[in-house]
Amino acid sequence: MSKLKDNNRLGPETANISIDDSVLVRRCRSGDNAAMERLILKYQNRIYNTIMKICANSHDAAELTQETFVKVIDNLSGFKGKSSFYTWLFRIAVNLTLNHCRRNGKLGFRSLDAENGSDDGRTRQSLGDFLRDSTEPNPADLAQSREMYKLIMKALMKLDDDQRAVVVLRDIEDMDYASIANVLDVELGTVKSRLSRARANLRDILEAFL
Amino acid sequence: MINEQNINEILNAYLDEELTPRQHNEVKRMLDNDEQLALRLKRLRKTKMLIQSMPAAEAPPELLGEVKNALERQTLFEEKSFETTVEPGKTSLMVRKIISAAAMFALVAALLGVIYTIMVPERGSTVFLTETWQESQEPAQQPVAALSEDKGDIFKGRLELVAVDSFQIDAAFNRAAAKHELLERLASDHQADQKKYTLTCSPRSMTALLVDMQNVWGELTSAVFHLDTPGADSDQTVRNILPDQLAGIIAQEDIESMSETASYYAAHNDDSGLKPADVSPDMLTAPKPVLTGREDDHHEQPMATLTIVISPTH
Repeated sequence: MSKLKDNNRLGPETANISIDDSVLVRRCRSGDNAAMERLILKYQNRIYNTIMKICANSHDAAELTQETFVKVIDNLSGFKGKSSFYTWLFRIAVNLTLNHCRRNGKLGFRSLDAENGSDDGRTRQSLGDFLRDSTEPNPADLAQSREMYKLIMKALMKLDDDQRAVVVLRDIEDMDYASIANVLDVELGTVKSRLSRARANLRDILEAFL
Repeated sequence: MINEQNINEILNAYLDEELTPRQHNEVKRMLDNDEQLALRLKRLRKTKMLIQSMPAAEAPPELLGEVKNALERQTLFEEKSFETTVEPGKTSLMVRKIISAAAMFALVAALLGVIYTIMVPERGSTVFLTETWQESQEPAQQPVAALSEDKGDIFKGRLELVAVDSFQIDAAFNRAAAKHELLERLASDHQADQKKYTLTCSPRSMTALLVDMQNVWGELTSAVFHLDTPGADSDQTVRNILPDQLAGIIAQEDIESMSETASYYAAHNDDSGLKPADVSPDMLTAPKPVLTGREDDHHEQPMATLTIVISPTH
C-alpha cells in the first residue's frame, strides 16, 4: 500500500493553524499525505539548518535532510511516543549527520578553508572588536557579513563532532539541556560538561583567528 | 568542592537559564560580588551570541518534493519486490519443506534399517518378534526330545567317537558346544566311562560344532557315523567319517540325499582305508559357518538331531 495516500487532505484554510505534532503523526500514520507534508514543512528548515551548521556543506545538508524525513516517515509506525516527535526527529537527523561526518572526515571544514582567500582582514578585526569591546555591539549586524559567517563556521568546524552538535542544538536550535540529552542519548551531566568545554574551546579558537 | 570545570558549567547553565530560581539567585549574587566571574560570564555570552547570530539556512524549496519522490520510489520498489518475490518465496519454502520431510523419512528409514540389521540379521522382523515372544514363554531347559518332535527333524544320526584319551574329546566337544551356545540344546546321558550326548539344533550350528572339533579328530581311533533312515531295513553306516563328510551329509535337503551321500562316503572311506588318526588338518575342508545370532533364532529351519557317543579305547 502506498504511504502517500491523499485522503483527509488539509485544506488551505488550515495551513497556518498550529496543529499538535501528535495529531499530525497520527494522521500521517493512517496514510494522510497532507499531514505528512505538514510535518515536513514544519520542520524542514530547522532540520536543514541544524544539519548545515554541523556538517557545513549545503549539498550534504540537503541530502541528509531528505534522508532524515524519509527515514522518519518510514519508521513512523514504530514511533512509540516515549519522547516527543520533535526530539525523535532531531535524534534521527543528528545521528545521520554525525555518522556522515565520521565517514567523511572534515570535508566541510576543508571546503571552508578553500573559501578563505577572500578574507581581507577587516572581518577578523570586527570579530576582535566584538570579543574585546565592552560596549557589546549588536552581534546580529556583525554576523550578517558573509565573511564573518564563514569565520564562525570555521571555528565551529574545529570543534569535535560531539561538542559541535551540542553547541548547535543549544545555541542555534535553542534546545533545552534535557532535550539535548534525549537527542544525543547521553546523560544530562554530559550535556553540561560538553557544552561548557565546547564554548570555552570555541572562544579560544575564535581568539586564535585574530 | 567547586573546581574550574564546575564553575564553567554553572556559568553556562546560568547563561542558558537552566538553573533553578534559587540557584539562579545564588549565582547572580556571586556575579554581583565577583568581577572576574562576571567577566567570564560576559565572554561566554559573547561566544553564545556569535553562534546565535549566524543566519539560519533555509532548506531548498525542492526538498518536500524530493522527499515525496523518494518515498514513492521506495514504495514502488517495495511493492515490486513483494510482487516478484512472494510466489518464488512460497514455492521455494514449500520445496524446502518437502525436501526436509523426505530427508527426515529417509534418515528414519536408514536408522531403522541399521537397527533391523543389528537386531535381526537374517530374518524378518515379524518372525523375530513372534519367536522372541515364544522364547519368553518357553522354559529355559526344555527337553531336547520335545523340541525335536515339534519341529519335525530331517536329519537324525549317531556319531560314535573312540579315543585313547576320551576325556580330551569330551572336553573339546563341550567347548565347541559352549562356543556355539548349544549347551541348552544338549541332552546328556553318561554311562560309566562312556559319554553320550543328544544334540538338537540347526544343521548349520551342528556343522559349525563339527568343524570346531576337527583339531582333535586326529586323536580318534575310531569315528563311525550311523544315519537314521526311516523306512529302510537298517541305518546307513559310514566308518572313519571326517567332520567335513558329516557336514556334507547334514547339508543335504532330504533324507534320500543324505542317505546317498552317506553311502558314497562309506564306500570311499572303506576303499581308502583311512583312519581318523591319519587325517591331517588340510584334509578337513568343511566351510566354517558364521553365526551372528543365538541358536534360538533358527527355529524355523529344519532341525538336526545327532547323538554323539564318546568312548575310551579298550
